[in-house]
Amino acid sequence: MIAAPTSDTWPAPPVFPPRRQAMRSASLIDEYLAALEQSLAGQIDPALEADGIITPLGAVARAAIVEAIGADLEAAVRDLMLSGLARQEAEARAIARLGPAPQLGRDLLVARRRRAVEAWQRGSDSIWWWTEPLVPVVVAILAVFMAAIAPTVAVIAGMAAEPHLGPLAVAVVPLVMGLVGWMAGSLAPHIGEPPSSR
Amino acid sequence: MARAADTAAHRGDARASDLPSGTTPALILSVLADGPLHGYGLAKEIERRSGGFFTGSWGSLYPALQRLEQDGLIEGSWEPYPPQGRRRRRVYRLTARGQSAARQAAGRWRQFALRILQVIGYADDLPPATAAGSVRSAP
Repeated sequence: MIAAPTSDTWPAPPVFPPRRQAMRSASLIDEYLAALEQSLAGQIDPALEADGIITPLGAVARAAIVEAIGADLEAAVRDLMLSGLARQEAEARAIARLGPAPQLGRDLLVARRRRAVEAWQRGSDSIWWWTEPLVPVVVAILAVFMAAIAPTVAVIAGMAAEPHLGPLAVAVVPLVMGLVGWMAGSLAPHIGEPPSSR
Repeated sequence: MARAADTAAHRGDARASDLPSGTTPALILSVLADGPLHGYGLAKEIERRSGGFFTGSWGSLYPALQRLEQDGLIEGSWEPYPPQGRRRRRVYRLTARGQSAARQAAGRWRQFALRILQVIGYADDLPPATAAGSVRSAP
């Protein structure tokens, strides 16, 4: 018979998986990256402004920037330490060569903003740039108007064709026109759309 | 002295050993034409190719990398299996468009540099074939 576990061995002490951040003591690099992350946090993502989306720079985008720069900083520190410098001094030198974190954060945001500015400039090259947002409105108004008068036009066309094509034309012509209109309507919304794989 | 340099860095002033403004994309494209590299690798390679002259700030590399990636001239990918406890590096490589842009940028900057040397009077230091060839091919 197996003895019941004693209070010393049961329940077993919790074992947590090792976490990289928890294992590493705060260093100059961590402080620098935290400052960089802070300079990016809460800023509008300029890359999405071109599409009219106003949203803060996402956590994933910030984390990717910080991770890439952090990895390069670590590599620079390793190189400097191999040349004989102490860790603290190596970290300070690597950070000094990268420049102040707020400045780097600003430069990165400016780089993302450039595409939005260029998109706006391209759009405003023509004097008709202001009509671009009106196009879908005009198309919608025309579509509603056509839909409103289409049955009347179809019946009139059927009545006009009746002397030449016989009494059946009164029913067939509106049906054919309706079919053609439906096909055109189902195709029209897809004209000019970007490929779905975009 | 060090304090003055720090102050200049905080103001964003350029030092002689910093990458000159506007040249960074061309330098990145040229270096990446020889193979994929991560950001620090790029900085080291630029320093090595310049004979140790460009030892200043390499903070300007990252905005330029971001721009080139947005323009589709380079593509970045994460190091698949980083050593344990280290952050993942982002490795950049040229796209097909980037290779063409690298060749164009190299040609443009070569002409530009030769003209500057001629204007400021250092063209005599160039090998004769280089200087003469560049003058003949000038538009």
